[in-house]
Amino acid sequence: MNDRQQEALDRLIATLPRDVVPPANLWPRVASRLSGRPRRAPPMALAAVIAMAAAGLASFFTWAVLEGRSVPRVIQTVAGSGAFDEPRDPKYVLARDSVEKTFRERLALLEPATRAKIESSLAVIQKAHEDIRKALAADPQSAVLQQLWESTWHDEFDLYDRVVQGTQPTMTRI
Amino acid sequence: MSHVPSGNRFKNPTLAIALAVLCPWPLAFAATSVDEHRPANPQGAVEIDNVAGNIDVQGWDKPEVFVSGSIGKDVERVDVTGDGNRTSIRVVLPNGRHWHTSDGEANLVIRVPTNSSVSATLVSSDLKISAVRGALELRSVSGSITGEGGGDVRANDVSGDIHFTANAAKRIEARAISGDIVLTAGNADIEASTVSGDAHLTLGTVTRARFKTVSGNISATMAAAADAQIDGETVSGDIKLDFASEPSADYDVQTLSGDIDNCFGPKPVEPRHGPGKRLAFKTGEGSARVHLTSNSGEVRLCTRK
Repeated sequence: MNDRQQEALDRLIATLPRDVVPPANLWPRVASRLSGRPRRAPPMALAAVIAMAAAGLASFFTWAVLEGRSVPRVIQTVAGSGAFDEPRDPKYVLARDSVEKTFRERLALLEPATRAKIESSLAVIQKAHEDIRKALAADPQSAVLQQLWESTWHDEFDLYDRVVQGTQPTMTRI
Repeated sequence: MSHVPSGNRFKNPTLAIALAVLCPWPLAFAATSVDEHRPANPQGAVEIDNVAGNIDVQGWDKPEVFVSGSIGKDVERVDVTGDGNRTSIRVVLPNGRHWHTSDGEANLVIRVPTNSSVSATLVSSDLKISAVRGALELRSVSGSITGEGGGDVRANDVSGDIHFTANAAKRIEARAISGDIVLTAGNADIEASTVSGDAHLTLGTVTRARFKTVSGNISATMAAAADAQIDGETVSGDIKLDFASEPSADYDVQTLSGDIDNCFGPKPVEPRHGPGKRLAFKTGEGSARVHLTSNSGEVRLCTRK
């Protein structure tokens, strides 16, 4: 693995949730349950949502790392095929769908103006990625285009991750 | 803390009804005040979670965290917990409450020991920081992040702006998506990235710098250390670097359809095969490196005159 691959992999790994922190607001409920007192709302559904969100993100990056050993290698494989399309592996598609689903759920919690800005930025990233993909089809050996194609691909998942991580306080209600 | 009137104060029902009718709605939905003191390690960590409103964090010279301000009626409470080494301030909303209204907001002034490190995760809250000398890790989805700090800074905003001064920081990471970044710093390693927002960076002597944008514009003024490593990447936005003096460095600038404008060094060339322009040259004996890549954005390298 060369330095660039290592750097890209390090960046991806850095985006993995370091841990799945149980919301502090859940602890009083957990404590009350342990002590046998009634609780107002079941925390399990909330915990499950949080765990699924974290698991979705983690599974995507884990898939990327394990399946291709590194995302750059996946990208290189795709680039080598000349297609520059995303992998169609069912595991990848499943993981990606999961990440996007969580992102959409969190996005729905935000104010319309904020949602619009985020959607707009996502569209900017996706358009840039698509434009570069088309350019790569014409010039598949371009190192600049390969770098930008990889970079914008990361940008999209980085956006998902930042929205999911940033809206965590909305998931920690009592 | 209760805001329910104690006792039966109104003996005259007519007067009570008249007062109720005349009472303005804002009073009927009056915010609850917050006033919490907690001992804290002068170099401890403070964590803040808030969903909506305004958070103003101010460093002070007392070994204490002091939370004051007000919360809307839809806010359940403000939890201030911790053991002194780590203080957590969490604005708690009842599950199912919609926080897109002013009743779900918390407007807090949080005083922390000046050498504290602060970590804040906010959703629709504006964050202001002042006089804090510890490390800052600031994350917001739609609010702005403003202020100044003395320690290292990681500021991450999705749709809000980042306006920050960190003259003593050794490492700064500022990342926005649609918001703008306006950053003033000293001799720090810097990473600044946006998707569609612009970044205006006023930096000291830089050893490591990484600039990245998709469609926003990045402009930076700086001096380059002898061993500086400066990287920039853009898809369609512009990157403009103004150096205090011409760095002794190895330059490699590549664009596919964007222009390259440089005030020093040779002129860029168009490759014999393939599109774009390339500017590759070396000046002096330094080990610095400047590596910039663009698709359609313009890249400009100049010195301040």
